[in-house]
Amino acid sequence: MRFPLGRKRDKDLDEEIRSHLDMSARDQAERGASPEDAQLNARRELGNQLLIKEVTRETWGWGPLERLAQDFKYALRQMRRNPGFTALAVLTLTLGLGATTAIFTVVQSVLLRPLAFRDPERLVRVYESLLPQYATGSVSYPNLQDLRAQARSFSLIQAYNPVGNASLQTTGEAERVAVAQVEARMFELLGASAMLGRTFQPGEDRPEAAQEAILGESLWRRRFGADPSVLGRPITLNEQPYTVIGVMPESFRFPPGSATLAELWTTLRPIPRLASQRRIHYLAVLGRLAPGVELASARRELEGIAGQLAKRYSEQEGRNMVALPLNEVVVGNVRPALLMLMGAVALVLLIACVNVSNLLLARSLARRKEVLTRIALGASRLRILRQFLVESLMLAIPGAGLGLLLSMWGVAELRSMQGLRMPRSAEWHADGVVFGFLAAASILTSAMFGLAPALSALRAQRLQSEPGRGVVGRRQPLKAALVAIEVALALILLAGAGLLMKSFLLQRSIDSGIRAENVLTLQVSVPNASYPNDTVAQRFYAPVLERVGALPGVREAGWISALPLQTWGINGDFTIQGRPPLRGKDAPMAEERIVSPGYFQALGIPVLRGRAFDSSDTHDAPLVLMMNQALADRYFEKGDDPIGHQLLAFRPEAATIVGIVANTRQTGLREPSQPEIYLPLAQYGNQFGQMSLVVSTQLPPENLTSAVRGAIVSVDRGIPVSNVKTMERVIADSLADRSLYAVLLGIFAGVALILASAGIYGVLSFLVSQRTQEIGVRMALGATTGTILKSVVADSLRPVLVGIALGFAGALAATRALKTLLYGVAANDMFTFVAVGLAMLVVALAASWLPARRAALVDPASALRNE
Amino acid sequence: MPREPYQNRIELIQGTLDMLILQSLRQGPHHGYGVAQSIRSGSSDVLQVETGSLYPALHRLEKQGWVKSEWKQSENHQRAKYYSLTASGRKRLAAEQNRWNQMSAAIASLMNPEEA
Repeated sequence: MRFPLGRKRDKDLDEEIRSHLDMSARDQAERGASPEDAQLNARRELGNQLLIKEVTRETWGWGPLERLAQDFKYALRQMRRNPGFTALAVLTLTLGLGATTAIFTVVQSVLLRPLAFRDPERLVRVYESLLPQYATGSVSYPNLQDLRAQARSFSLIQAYNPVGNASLQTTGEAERVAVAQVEARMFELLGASAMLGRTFQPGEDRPEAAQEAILGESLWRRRFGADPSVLGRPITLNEQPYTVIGVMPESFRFPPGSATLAELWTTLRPIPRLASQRRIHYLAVLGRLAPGVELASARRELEGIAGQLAKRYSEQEGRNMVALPLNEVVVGNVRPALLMLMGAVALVLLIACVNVSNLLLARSLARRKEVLTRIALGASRLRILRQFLVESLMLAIPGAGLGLLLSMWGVAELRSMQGLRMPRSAEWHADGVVFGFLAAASILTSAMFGLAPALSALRAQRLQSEPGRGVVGRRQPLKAALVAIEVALALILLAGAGLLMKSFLLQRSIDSGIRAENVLTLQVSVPNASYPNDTVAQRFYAPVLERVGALPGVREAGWISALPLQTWGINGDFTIQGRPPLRGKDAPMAEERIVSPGYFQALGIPVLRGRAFDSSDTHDAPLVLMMNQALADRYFEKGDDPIGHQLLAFRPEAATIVGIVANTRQTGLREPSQPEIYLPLAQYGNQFGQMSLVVSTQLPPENLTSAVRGAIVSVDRGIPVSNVKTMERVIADSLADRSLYAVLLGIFAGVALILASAGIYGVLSFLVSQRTQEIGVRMALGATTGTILKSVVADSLRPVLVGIALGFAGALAATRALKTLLYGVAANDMFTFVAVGLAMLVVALAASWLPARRAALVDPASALRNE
Repeated sequence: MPREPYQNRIELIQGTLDMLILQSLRQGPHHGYGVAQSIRSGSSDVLQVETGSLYPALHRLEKQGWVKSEWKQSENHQRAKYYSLTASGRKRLAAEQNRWNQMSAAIASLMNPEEA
């Protein structure tokens, strides 16, 4: 390999020699030689051209670049000569660097990369809070208006309604699209502009303004074939006419950090029924801090405003307003999990490092002769050190390349993970920072695993007079230390994975209060335009239940406004009639769900007292409601039977309590059951928006999907169906993040265990081969196979035991970081620690068995002949 | 003996050759063949410069900065690489010459003691 400069010099030299020959030949010819003789003589006089050029070139010396190129060339030759070794080292590094890069890609995309809005660090999310229950709650419409009128800390405050599904109709069939309703100046607040057309203008969110829609780029491409003439076109959303005014680019991701991104925006308008209701909180509010205003002073101002509101309105008692930086809101609670995973992959990378170091070390001993020769020929120590480091780098480069591919695959897998709700997942991709990280990690890694072998090879210089081959093989303290480190690192990962797995299994075994086997669920949203609230149950929901119930294989079916185990839902305060009303934070609070007859039966939720809703609870019948045991426990005295009491909840009219059902986990398996009020669908309609159908079956529920869909279509073909899942899937999805962490850490721990056992195996094989003669002598002197086996295994156990001890110490420190991710398991859970320690020991023993066996089978005669 | 930053395989001959080359370039720029010819003819064919030593020496001197080279048309309208002395090359030549004079005088006095 030569560099351009070198090639030019070569050509120059060729020409110089040629001109020499020409001049010499001319002189010969002048002296009377024939042209042929002249040429020949000139050549003869010159001597060996190649040698002359070679010797001349040597005087140039090597430029630093050429020397490096030479090192690379040499390293390449080394790699080709040992394809097995090279493949093993590259594979190990691919695993280490790939896992690290994958997790770093997510960390960079979620935690480090700024949100794609103008000056994202000035954006805040504003909440109403009611401690201790709700630290971050939605804002009611009157409060939003007061806030906007009074707050001086913000240059703009705009509200949006979190994404809901709407049925979009253009020319073809209806499609469900994710819609966000935003106040008109939301785009201005975020500093986002349309790629086509325009965004909303101030005032276009007034009730009397024409209805307009902005499309997301992907919807525009999918549904409108990226047609620029879409502007001004009418579309139908939930059976209401809208005019398209603009298209937002794919890079505009809204709501910020949400896993379900809006594909279509409409204006958020005051809902007449709610516009004056200070106690109905449903708006998400974003604000941009005014220039020069600190977050702390904005928070003080919000507190002041909330204080005034609390004085003026009794329903505001105990309520506060808070602002949180938007990026914090977006990241949410995944930070500890991501940092935990980052730590885990760093450990995997370290183990990979130690492993490759071990491999190289074994080779560097074998290459001692080569190093000695090169030193004897005048190579400097620095040159040899560099040669070794270049060889390490050459292993890291393909490792990094393959690792990048592995990480891209891994990130795609993570993103497509079912039910996973991780922030900004649409933005997970490698960028310059990720590439820089990979490059830095590769260089650092190769320096780390290359240094020990390089130094060990250099020590060869000091051991120039190879000690006479002793009978007892030299101990290898460095290699034993590497084994101990590997075991320790792997044990830390195993302990973390064990804890997460145990806590996941504990969560899985929590009784959710429902019978999930053989239950199919799906979601519909029925537009109010075609089904007014007072008749929707009778015209749509009841007929669907009737037809679904008639399907063969169906046992029970019912509707509910929010399935159990969802992190969202609607709650509100209530009063028990006959008791003094309590306001503010003392007011009784409950989760509120609208259900139809059949719901409790379908999920096997027992009615403890009174009765469940039935067909007699019609729209015109007296208002009734049900509640759960948790509500009875919290708000009713022991002897005081809640049945027959009257409650004011959600509607201003009182309703009679007719039944009490057992508790279920509404907001997640880990969360205790909250007080809950159930309202009959026939009397309340689908006021909470979407409804979910729950169908318990005698057959595997998946088999009934199309039949159930068919039943819905037969009632109204215009109602789109979504989120078709079994109830078991719903439960699994509610634990998706925890199972993901447990599975990922499990994978990393598994890789670590494999690498560590490969490392142990490699080191022991090497040590045994070094001790072959000693073993031969001992056997010749009468040692049995058993004693040899014992001695070799004992030798290998020492570093393993040291590693396990170190690993326990490290795990005790490291697993403390897992605390927030654990459920029902202490971070220093004895059972888990003992289990993973034993597992490590067993694996280590297995890894040492083969080499020990080989040692025990040494034939003393041939071992001694080897001398 | 002062150590040169390059490795001399046969120190004396090489040092001497370097001096002779520098000396032959004192009259003006010359190409490699010319340098060899002028040393040969200047020593009445006693000193034959091996091409295998000449070019390495020229390149080495160039690397040391004592001579510089450029491609020019030769007297026969051929392209040839011409070497010429640099300022430091002149200084070097003076020093070499000085040392040579001292050494040859010393050797002469050793070889012919009666004349001393």
